[in-house]
Amino acid sequence: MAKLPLEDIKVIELGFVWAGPLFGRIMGDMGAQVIKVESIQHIDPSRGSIPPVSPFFIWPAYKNCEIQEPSWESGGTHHEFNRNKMDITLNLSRPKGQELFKKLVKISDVVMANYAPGDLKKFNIDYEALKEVNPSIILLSSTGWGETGPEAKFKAFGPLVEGMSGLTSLTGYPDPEPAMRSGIDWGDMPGPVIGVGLTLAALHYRRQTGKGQFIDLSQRETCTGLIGEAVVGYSMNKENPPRYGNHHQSFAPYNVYPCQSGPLTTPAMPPSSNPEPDKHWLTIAVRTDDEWKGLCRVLGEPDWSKDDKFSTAPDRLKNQDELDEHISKFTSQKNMQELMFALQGEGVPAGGVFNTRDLYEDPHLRARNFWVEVEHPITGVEIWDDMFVKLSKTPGNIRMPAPTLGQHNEYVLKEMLGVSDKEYEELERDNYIGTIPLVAQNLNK
Amino acid sequence: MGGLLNGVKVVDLTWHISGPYCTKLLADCGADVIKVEKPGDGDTSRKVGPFPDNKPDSEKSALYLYLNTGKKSVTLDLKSEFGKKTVKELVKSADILVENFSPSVMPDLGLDYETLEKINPKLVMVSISNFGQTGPYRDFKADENVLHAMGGLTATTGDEALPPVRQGGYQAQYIGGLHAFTATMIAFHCQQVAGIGQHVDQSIMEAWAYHSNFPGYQFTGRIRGQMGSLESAVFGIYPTSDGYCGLAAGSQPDWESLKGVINNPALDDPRFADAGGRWQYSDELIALIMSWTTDHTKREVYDALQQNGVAAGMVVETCDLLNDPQLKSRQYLAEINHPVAGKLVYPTISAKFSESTCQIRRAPLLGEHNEEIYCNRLGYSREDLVKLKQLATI
Repeated sequence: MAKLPLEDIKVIELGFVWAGPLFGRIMGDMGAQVIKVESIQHIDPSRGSIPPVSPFFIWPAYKNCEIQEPSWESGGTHHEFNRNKMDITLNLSRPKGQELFKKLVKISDVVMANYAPGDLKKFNIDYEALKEVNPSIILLSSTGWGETGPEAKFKAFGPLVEGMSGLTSLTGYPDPEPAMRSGIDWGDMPGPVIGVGLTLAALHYRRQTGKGQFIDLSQRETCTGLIGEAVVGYSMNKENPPRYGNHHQSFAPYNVYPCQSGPLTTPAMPPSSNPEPDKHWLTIAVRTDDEWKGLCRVLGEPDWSKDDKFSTAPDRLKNQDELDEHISKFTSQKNMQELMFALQGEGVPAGGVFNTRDLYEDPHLRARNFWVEVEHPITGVEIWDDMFVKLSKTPGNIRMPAPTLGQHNEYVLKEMLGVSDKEYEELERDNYIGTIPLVAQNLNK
Repeated sequence: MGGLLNGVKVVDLTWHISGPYCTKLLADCGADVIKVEKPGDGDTSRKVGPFPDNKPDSEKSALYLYLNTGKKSVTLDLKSEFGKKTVKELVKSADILVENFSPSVMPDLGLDYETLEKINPKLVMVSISNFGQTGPYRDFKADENVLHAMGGLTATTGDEALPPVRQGGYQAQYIGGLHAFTATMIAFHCQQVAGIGQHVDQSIMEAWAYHSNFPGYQFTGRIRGQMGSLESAVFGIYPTSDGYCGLAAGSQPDWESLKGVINNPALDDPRFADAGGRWQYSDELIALIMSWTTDHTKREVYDALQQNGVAAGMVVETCDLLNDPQLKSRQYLAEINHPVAGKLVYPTISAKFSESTCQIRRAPLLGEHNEEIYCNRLGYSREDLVKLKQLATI
């Protein structure tokens, strides 16, 4: 079997919902041993609420809109984020649970948490406490606003982090149209991704110096880092960058153009409670005269394109609204995929506005084996996105489906930590560990 | 205390945004990054503003200055024999090489992975591209809007009443570069621990598709459309007297706190008492909440909610960042001096480290380190440099 790039690293994940679990997922995808720590008192919300609100909700999403019991093992979001991990439960609010956790820390390299600020300290598992048990441990704590500062204890959600980063104010159509948030919980994503990179850098530092350390990662700051030129630019001119909508400050045509949707190339995922959208859009970006000529060839060299008002790049920019109208008339008669290939064939940057279904059906992603089948013990065969990057010699892969709650309690506690059978039984009896959420147990009483 | 990646040698052939953001993060972590730029014009980002007083100047581009902190700059014509020879020379003692050309460029230059691997078997070569090194879209051309759309994000952004819209700045390229940084570190770890070098194929499209929230479609068949900004009355962005502020009050305790802050008896209406009711009578509830938010500034709304335990986030403008109390306390923004552009404010690294230091250093002038690299490291004489400059090779 091919080597995995991070197979020597032992990670403990204290993650909820997106940020923590995404960190653990990337590490696990690339071969690290990842032990996800939940508790029967508090399960990861990705497992859904108990009882579930509705089988039709898009989050956490249940296969075929049917809830397969136990419901907390069937949530789609849980399956997507928590593959390639072991799972244990531990009640960290009580000393015995904390002691066992620290025993695990002693034989680990990295602890990653996206707990609410102050919770690690509350459970006596902050960096000061962990350093005592394992001086070379690396603890990465990912919070919305950082662990220090006047607003450290403020609550964070993805779209709110995005707003505070400055990105939202730059997104959307120009004034007076309002700023728009990203279509995904943007604020949650860059943090864990950079977190993995910084953790690996810290591991390198440890190899050189023998020292572990505490990494206090702010999701908001990570997002501001993605609009750095706006900050530097403001510092120069004291001007906020404007919103451009789909336009560009110098190039035209540069926009989204309406097209017709294509026929389905794969069977629709059952049950389709949404019909396939009847409209698709195509982005086109013309930056050079050559690209403009290529576009005109695909348009069929229409008379309007020969008008003086479109002859140079500055002209096209000045008259882009009229230009866009002409182009839209043409594109709205065409199929998005076909038009994309036709334009690219003439050297014109063009790309479909892909929705989730388009990505799933995409011939390029399929050719690159981006979608893979994974078998889950309760829900059966599922299709997931593979790795975010291709490594030529040590590719990551999906080795384990998402774990059931406390699936590895026995293995981790008895085999790795030397807990005796008798002790183990007591831990179960006293609700330090378990495999059924307390809420579910109470419902059945 | 030192930098995380002190002594790690990176040969940086990247240009514009996605590649430079990856190597910027390596440099900010302390790596030794040699950035190769085209003689004469240098990196294309030098031509993209903002510029002071909106006057283009290749040493004063905010985009270049931000994306190239901490790097050394040499000029080199990669198409020349000397250029190819120099890259091979640098690769001999490098840990990492990063490039973001179209996939056919490095092989055309004779600098493909197979060739470089023979020179340095442990080399980690990172190739960042729009769609990857293989596949039907491999040679497609793209600009920011095309990448953003093909990655899946444009389809869900914006108000349904208007065409889908891309995010501000250059998010597709930045996110591609961010994933490339992490991918570089993954391969570097394997090199250091297991002695294995390899080729890293980072597709910007795949960096995005990895986050496409697939379960929703796969399990329910529903395709997520444009989100707008107000997902529900208790989760979304509201207008304020001076801008916008978002809030998230999904749980019952959150609702009680929200009611307490707004203090409007109309909210005690039994129809709003549970989550189902708040969803059903959404329009009315939105109007009530909006009448409060529009009466206050975004800072007032944010502070009032957060101090009462309700998650909130202002839609800050760029100017707000420079005076933000939280960012100030964490010293996240730093003033850095530059010999031509002068003193400007830059975001630093987004984490605090207890042991190592992460000092952001300024961006280089074009070819600033030619002498240091060509003469001191590679052994050429100053006369050699003069000749090479005359040939426009450097």
